[in-house]
Amino acid sequence: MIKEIIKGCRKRRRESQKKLYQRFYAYGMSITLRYADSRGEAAEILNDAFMKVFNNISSYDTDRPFKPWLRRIIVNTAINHYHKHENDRQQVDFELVEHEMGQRQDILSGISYDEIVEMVQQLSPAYRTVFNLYVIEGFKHREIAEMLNIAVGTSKSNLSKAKKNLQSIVEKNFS
Amino acid sequence: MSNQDKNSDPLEEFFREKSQEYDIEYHEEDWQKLEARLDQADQQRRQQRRRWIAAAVIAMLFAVLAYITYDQQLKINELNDELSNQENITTLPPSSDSTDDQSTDPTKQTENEADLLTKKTEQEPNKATNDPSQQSRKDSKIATGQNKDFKQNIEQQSNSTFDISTIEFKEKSLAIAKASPGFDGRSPAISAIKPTNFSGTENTKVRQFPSSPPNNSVQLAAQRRAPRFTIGVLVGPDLSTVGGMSNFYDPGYKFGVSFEYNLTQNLAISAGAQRTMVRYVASGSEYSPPQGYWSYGVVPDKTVGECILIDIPISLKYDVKHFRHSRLYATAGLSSYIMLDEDYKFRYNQSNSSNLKQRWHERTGTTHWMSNATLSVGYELDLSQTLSLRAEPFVKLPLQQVGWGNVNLYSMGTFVSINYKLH
Repeated sequence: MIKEIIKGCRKRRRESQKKLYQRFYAYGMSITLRYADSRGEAAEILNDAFMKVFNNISSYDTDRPFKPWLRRIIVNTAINHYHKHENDRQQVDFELVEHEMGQRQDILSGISYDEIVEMVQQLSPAYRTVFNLYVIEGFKHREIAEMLNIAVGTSKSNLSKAKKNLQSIVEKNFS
Repeated sequence: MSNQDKNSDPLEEFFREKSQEYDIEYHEEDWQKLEARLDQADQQRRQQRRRWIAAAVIAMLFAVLAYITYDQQLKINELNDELSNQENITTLPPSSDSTDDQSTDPTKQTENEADLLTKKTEQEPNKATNDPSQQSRKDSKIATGQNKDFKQNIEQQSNSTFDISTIEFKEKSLAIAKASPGFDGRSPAISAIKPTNFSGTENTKVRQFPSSPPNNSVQLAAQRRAPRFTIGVLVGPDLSTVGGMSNFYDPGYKFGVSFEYNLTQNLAISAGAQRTMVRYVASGSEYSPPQGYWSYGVVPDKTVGECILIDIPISLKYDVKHFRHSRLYATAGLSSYIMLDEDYKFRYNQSNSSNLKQRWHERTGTTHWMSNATLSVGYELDLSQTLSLRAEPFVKLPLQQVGWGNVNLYSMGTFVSINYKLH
């Protein structure tokens, strides 16, 4: 089924492109929502990513799974988006809270996916991006440093601050 | 990516797990935004493809023209060589056994001359022997038997004042010229040869004629083959824009007919009619529809125009330089436009533009007399005595505003035309 859709996309058939978009919309948005400030921005990143997908669909190897290929494109697009708007944003650091989240599992278990996304979106773009790349995507600090043109130490520091900020947000909203 | 299962940070674990539990609703408007971008990308791709096709067609036409020119040049060179050989043979000193006869009997001399020419055209030039006198005798003997009828004709005319050898030469050169358009330049030089007296002195004079035709022979040839009327069928791409010679949009096309009348050898007046598809993009300030047309006074940021019109050009054409079988020319004139169909689409940068004017389309039929000046240069290649091929890059500059949107329309492109000369 997916191969047929991709075949249609290669022929630039609009209905195939729409099918592919619909099928992976939620998956794509689940990624972009964590990198964006808002839903609108997330949709914008997703559409940018799908433009790349449709323009480069001929280079996709149909013998390999589609999702990782798409994920890689979406993450790269999100990083590009981060670079593009790097100077537009003002970094807002939350006050660091020293609580240990390990002791607050009962609070975490009651938080929904939407609330998680909302919390991540409250982080500054620099912290959020490092947090997503390290925690969710599984990149190493060295790789993140290369992708974001920052020092490895900065990546580690941003991750640490992101986690502390998240703890703070959880404390504030759910305790 | 690295596997971070070993990381036991509960916060990280929690976010990693939660990120998989998404349940996100599909929004159709997100797809619509993407679809608009895809449409735009497809359009750009089509435009690019059309440009490549137009470039390829133009390149191919130039390649064909170059090949035809090269091929014609080769043929001309071959004919030049052949003719040079003929001239050499014709002006050779007579052999000892025939000198007396030729000097005393003009009829015999003309017979031999005719035989020589007839025979020579049947032979390959490279088969000529190194001993011209022997070859001359051999030719005379062979040809005398084969061309009795021809000789009889010559004998019948021997009492007339015509110069038989000259007639024969002219016939030969015309035959060659027919085989090769533009070769006529050679014939005046040939016809100037006076073979009535083949004494040694005269022969020396004959040798003094240059192997190449005199400079005015090309002009004479051009005069001879210059018919008064020429009709043509033309086609070509049209790139149009408004406001200045930049920001060209999707190419349109032109096709039509032209009529030409030669006033002098080099000057002609031409007129025609060309169905033209014009495509252009105008910014808000360059496009001026009737006052009060825009909704709430909001002028679109961009107008995409697609118009079909009849272009009626009247121009003067001057042949700048003549070559043997081609010429360079330049034209200048005025064009009148009859607008047949006008279609304009309006684009706005602002997001909420659905309540603004989106399109204007009508078959107007308005005429704009002498609205544009037309300038062009061209190259014409004779394919035969009556047919020729032209490639003519042109530019059209606005003298007045045209169309419902009152735009200053600039156009450029290249005509390719086949022309037929009426004799």
